[in-house]
Amino acid sequence: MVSLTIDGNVVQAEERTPLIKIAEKLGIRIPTLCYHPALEPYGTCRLCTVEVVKKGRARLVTACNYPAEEGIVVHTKSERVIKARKLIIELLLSRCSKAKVIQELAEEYGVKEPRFGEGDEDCILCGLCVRVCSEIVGANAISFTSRGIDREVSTPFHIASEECIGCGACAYLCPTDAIKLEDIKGTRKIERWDTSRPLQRCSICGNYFAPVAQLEYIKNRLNLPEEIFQNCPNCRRKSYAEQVAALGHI
Amino acid sequence: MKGIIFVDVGKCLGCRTCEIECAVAHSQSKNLFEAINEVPSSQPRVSVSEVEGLSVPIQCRHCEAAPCVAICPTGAISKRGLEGPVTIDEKLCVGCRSCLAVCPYGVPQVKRGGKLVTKCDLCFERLELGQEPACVAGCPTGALQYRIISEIGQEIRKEVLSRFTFESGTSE
Repeated sequence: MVSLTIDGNVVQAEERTPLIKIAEKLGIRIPTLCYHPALEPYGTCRLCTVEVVKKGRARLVTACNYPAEEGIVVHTKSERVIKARKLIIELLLSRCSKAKVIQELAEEYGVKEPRFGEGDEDCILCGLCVRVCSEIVGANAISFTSRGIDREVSTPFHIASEECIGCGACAYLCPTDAIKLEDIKGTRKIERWDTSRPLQRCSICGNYFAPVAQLEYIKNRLNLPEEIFQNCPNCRRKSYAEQVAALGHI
Repeated sequence: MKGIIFVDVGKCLGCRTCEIECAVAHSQSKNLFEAINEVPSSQPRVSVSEVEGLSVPIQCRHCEAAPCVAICPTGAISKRGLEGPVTIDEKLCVGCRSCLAVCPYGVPQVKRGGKLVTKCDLCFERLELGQEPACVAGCPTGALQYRIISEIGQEIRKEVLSRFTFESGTSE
């Protein structure tokens, strides 16, 4: 355990806990777009920038991946932090001027027109989609490609990925809603990844409910009765209700 | 001491009070009149299914070896203690919907207006305060009861036995 100070609060924390977690426990909100507690911190969006004073020297660090150390003093709302954050928001806004989440941040921090133009990119390269696909789902269907200003997230060689199971975790986590997921006529389409995956049809109601590839993936990990994967959640609930009704109670 | 929501189908009128009580208990304001204006609106985690003229309220069964807990890749769904309810830590949910695919009872649902998944948490916060789950407390007919699992079996056994003694009493 180490002892540190965050915005005047002296706290005890496990050594190497990211500062953002400690701040969250104290109820101090630090803005972030690329941090998710289930994933390894990545430090790309830079929004969680805070000021850390260590041995009399102050510097700006990202709270999502800066580990708790003995005796450090952290300022999350100092003048220097706010100034740095404003610039970061301005840069993000000039890249993705139409992203709602960034517009809201700009409003909150009083950033008006970005000095660097108004781009219409939709991806901020936070890497949440890439990380969830590799760390959590384990499919590794997408990755960062190219470098510098050409850097983007894509499937290998920009062709439809065979590895994608169509779970849609990338789309759910995307802070700017850049990844669109559509279920049309028995196919799940993720246009950004140029990927389409067939959906499983419910054997009772005939509605499509989940990508076949995802169900196969789950089957391999968990030993469950086959009918669970044949029926949609609604029909599963209904057939359970029928069993309960026949029994009279549960 | 594992408690569970016991459903007596014979007493259920299908009034769906449990659904309203559940939605209110899981809303931000915990008040019906404020909850209806919340965005996104709070949603019930119990649903009443109609089966051949009968109404059956279904909520999470809080399985001992829950498939949703086993499949959740981030550990967002977990069991609160060995005999506790199965709950979701929304902060850890990545929206992969694996739990929707594996639940034998079709309980987890995608949250309204959000990207997360939600399900019955057995009102564990209310239980800690010594209150009954919201759906149970609100049920006007007693179709939903919060009971200790080990006692349910005993009570059914007693009831059946009492029927026998009654019959033997009248035949004499």
